Amino acid sequence: MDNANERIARLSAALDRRELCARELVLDYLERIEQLDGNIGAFITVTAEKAIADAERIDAKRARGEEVSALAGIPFAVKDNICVEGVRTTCGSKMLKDYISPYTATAVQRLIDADAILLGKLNMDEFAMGSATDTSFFGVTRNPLDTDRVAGGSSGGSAAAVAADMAAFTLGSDTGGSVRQPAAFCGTVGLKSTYGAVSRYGLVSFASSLEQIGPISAGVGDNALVFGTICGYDKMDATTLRDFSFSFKGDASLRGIRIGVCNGAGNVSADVSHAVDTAGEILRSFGAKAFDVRLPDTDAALAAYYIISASEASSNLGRYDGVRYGYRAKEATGIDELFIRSRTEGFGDEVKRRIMLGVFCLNREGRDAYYKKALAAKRKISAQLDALFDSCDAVIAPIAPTTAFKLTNKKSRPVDIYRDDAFGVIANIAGIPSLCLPCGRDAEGMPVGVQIMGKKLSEPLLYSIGLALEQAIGGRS
Amino acid sequence: MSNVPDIKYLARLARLELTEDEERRLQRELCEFVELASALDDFCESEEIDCDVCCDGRLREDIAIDRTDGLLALSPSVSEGYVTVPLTVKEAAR
Repeated sequence: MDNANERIARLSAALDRRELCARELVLDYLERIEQLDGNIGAFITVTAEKAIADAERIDAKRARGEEVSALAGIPFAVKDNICVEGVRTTCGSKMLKDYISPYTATAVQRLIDADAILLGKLNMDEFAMGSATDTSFFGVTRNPLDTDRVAGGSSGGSAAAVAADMAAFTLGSDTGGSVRQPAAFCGTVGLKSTYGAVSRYGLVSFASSLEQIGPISAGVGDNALVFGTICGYDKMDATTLRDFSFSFKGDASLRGIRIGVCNGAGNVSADVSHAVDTAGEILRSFGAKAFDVRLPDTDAALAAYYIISASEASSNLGRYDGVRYGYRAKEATGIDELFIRSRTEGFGDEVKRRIMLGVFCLNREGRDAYYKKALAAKRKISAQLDALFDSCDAVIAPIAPTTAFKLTNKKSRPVDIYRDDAFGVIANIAGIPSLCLPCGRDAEGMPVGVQIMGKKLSEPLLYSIGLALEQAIGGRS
Repeated sequence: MSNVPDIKYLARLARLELTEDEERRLQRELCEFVELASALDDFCESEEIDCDVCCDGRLREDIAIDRTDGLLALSPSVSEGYVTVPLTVKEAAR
């Protein structure tokens, strides 16, 4: 098993050259999951039998000389809030611990149609609410690079699985940094795309106006390949962009590109700040024009994000009432008691906190004081970013204030934990793309991730910048 | 601006049952959140707040798929082809 940045390309080439077959590759990965995942906790469900059967089908396809895609036979896994027909989709919650999805998410279906092989479903913070994958009903996910540390969240299982090479690539979901922050903590590459670039059909809703499914991979090129497969219009999701198209060749010049640099000094650790500055210097050496910029008010973005996401969550999670699907409390004597007890027993503490917060922001008094104000702030922040992107083509910034912290060092007050999301939420609030990739190591050897943000639909540029940084720094290796 | 959440009322709206400890904790945490949300006060001071949303979303085409058996299989309690719930209406005493 290799650790090179372009894992998919190398495996695909080996499959094409018949140096290995998809069945062998899948068995290798299943063995690796068996060996490693007991100490990491990335997987909730492993679909071994189906994966082996799919691999045999794809081997037969290759043997017949049929043309196959670059993802044919490549094993992947998805966050457990993304539906796959006939497979458990738990959202990391007791509420859905036995829920079997009756349909497949469009993003997953597109990978299956490209003959990629699903290995299983990955751990996450309950209903994607958290930033350390420690609110899951199925236990914590540990960082493969140091198992005393968190993998980040909420897509911690997705990032850890790639970092430990238990899947060639994975899908996560990003509502306020949930793909990018765990990608940074585990030394992998994660994309939160332009809102509407990837279908949300089959993604269990948390905050519908903010979230996107995004790929996590070992390298930038791999990430672009997966994104190119899952993106595009979907008639099953009215919020997907009709005219979105994506192509990335990886040979674009950065000469003359204007890069805004915001190192977050004062709000982030010296290691993180240094990594952002280093990225700016590297891009300068490629002929880009890098200069300091200020991001819109991150405190306001954070407040707007938590108000909007909690409000949408309180509405979206209203469907879990113990009647049609999900956990049902035993021996309730009336319908109201059934609703209340099912929800009380089925949801964990963080989910209850967000629901309460959402109800608070949406009730008669809170609606004017909080929700409407948050929507206004969202528009203002988007306008400020539009103005910023008139003066630069992309912005490099921190994604989190520190590198992966020890499991024992988690902050105790929820608001202090929320504050760590300040840099991540901006892209979700504005609906713009953001690519996160490793940019060096801290003093303790943990990877430091930086994010590259651009205006809407600028994914090809972000990948070009990311590829240049990866080639200069060496990425995961 | 509302800054002292009525936890019992909110829990009723959220359809959650809270212990006294949970009520105290959530009361404190929501008050802390109100402080965090105050960042919007200055930021939005001069911003006109208009929540009328012009929706340009396209409704997807209705496709009838008979998944009754599959959907019933997901329900925690089913009887004779119906999802069952506890008794909700009692016959009035005559």
